[in-house]
Amino acid sequence: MTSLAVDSLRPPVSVPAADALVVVEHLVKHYRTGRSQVVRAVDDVSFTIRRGQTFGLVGESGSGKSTVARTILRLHEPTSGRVIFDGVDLQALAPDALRRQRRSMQIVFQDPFASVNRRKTLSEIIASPMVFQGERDSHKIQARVSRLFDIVGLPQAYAHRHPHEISGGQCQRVGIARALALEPSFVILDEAVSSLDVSVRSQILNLLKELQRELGLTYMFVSHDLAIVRYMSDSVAVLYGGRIAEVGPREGLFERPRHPYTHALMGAVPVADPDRQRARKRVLTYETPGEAINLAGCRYAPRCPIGQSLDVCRTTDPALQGMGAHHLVACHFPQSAESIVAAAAAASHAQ
Amino acid sequence: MTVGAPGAALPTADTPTAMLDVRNLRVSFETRTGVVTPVRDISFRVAPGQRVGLVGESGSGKSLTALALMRLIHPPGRVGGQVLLNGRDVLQLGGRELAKLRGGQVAMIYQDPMSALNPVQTIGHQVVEGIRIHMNLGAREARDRAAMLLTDVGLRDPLRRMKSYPHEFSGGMRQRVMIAMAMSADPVLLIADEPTTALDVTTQALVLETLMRMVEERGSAVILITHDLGVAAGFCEDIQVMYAGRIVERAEASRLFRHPVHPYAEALLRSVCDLDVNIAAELPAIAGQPPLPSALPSGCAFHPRCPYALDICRTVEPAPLRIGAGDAMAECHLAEERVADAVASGDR
Repeated sequence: MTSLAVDSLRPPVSVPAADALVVVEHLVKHYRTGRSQVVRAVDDVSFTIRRGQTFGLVGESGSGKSTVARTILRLHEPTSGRVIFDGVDLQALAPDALRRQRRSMQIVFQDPFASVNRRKTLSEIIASPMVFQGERDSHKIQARVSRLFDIVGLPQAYAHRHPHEISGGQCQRVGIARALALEPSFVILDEAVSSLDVSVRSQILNLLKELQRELGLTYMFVSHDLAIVRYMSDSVAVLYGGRIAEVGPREGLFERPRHPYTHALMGAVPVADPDRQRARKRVLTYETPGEAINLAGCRYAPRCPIGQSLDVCRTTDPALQGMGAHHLVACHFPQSAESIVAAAAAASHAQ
Repeated sequence: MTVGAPGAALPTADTPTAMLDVRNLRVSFETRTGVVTPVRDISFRVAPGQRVGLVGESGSGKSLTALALMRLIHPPGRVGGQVLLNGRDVLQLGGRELAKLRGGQVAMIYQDPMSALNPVQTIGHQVVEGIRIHMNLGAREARDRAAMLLTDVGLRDPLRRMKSYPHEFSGGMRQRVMIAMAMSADPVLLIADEPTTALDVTTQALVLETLMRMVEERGSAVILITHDLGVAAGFCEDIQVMYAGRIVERAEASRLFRHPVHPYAEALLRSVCDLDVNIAAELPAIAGQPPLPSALPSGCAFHPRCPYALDICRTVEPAPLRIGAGDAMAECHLAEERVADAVASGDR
């Protein structure tokens, strides 16, 4: 096992430059809370998103996944680190240039109703990015809006309706249409289907995949739902406590997960079949009393069946190390589910 | 198999095991544009210690059903029918008896523990308060019982944690406190409305395990309300699927997941995205949107989205059809032949 410690100049997943649309390098976002307290929402996160692919970012609440998403778009300013979009360093851009750049980077939010202006009609909502970017030709805008209604499967008759007159699933179609209005190359989907009911959620996921194929879009799919991330993504990063616990191509990560947290997440996804549910492998995880995160060593150590009782996990931060083609894991004991269970038993025995 | 009149209670021989017997429960609201009925004459039974899942999408009426069982629907809402708990109709109880029932014989857990707990009182105070109301214990004994319950749900060092306030706890720990409070008077029935929906998936699994252990130890029956079929599958023996204010199917969990009779139950199950879903294929989805209670389709409420719909489905509301033993039933004009298909395919 070779240790590929994070190099300060090079992102850990090496992708040919021409293939990379978004390169995130050592992104850090700290928030000051109170006089001396600092929340390390995102703490040295690096990854590369390839053109035309979907990069999944999965994590539980507080993992930093939404902060990563918003910092990439510079909706929040990063504390340090860089985001290179299509060869352009976004941090170096002046406000005007950034606004022009944002035409090609869009976001769809979780709550479809909270992210639209309720006093506008659906057609005004979808037209707003074009108006904001300075488009004045109303015929051109109308034609584009009408086309977008078709693209996302909204009836043209809804053009003059208001958000309260449509359902959550339809309103999310409006959010998607608005994100596509400026013909972006990159769309961040931040929990974009999480507030939708099962039957409607599948419609929207199918729509998103179809749009990607037809428009050649690159997605970053942010979600707490591992199963949906697996369905949507080509590569996946598992975030815990502001750090990447594990990152890699979908097949490798889901077939051979290495981080105890990834194992715990996979084992905890409810399966809609009582027989299959019983047959599943479960890797233990613990629950901490508060929201405390271990800052000295591995972020996950307090909840980890192995790390809980081992000094090295509590005191030494594990670096991302290579486990095969582009598959990286930040764990002192990267292994299979069976050996985690065995190692945990041994560790607690030794204690 | 027996077919009842449309909308009527299921024809049942009165088995002595029904602890909760809900008959023709209806919840309606008067609005400016007319009366809407989000829960439409539903009937079901729960045996002692039985865990029943009430599964549906938003607007299906599942949460209103829970509130109605606890008499928590307030005017202008109206509740009709009967809710027989060990033979007594909860809907007819007076204020005093009702106060004894809630938190005593019947307890409830809600989705958001932060809004169910009082933010300016300590955890200990809130747990002890419930115990003293329902168990007639002195201050000291009540405190000891509270500490025991909190240990039971997995809080370490409970006497110290009892001095904490809700904001000092993580979401999972708060929900554990809610479980301790709900179970403090050994209820015969626990109504849990989306108890883990606000929690992270790893925490959800741990909290569900705790909840299962607590109800099994006490022999409490549970009505688990959830939109998540996976959660229901792991927790419940029987599952009732709600759509547009009706229970459209009730079945043993394992049978439902193998052979759903109602086309809505089938479509709902197929559209679940889990870790085994085929990545190369489109996700099966249900076309269209669930109907609003104010604009229900004629006939079977599911017919506009149903791939099997016949002419009769557009005009006639289907009656409940009992399936096999127990309380299993489905409400679909095609139920009989779909059951026959299941039998032919080797099930049961």
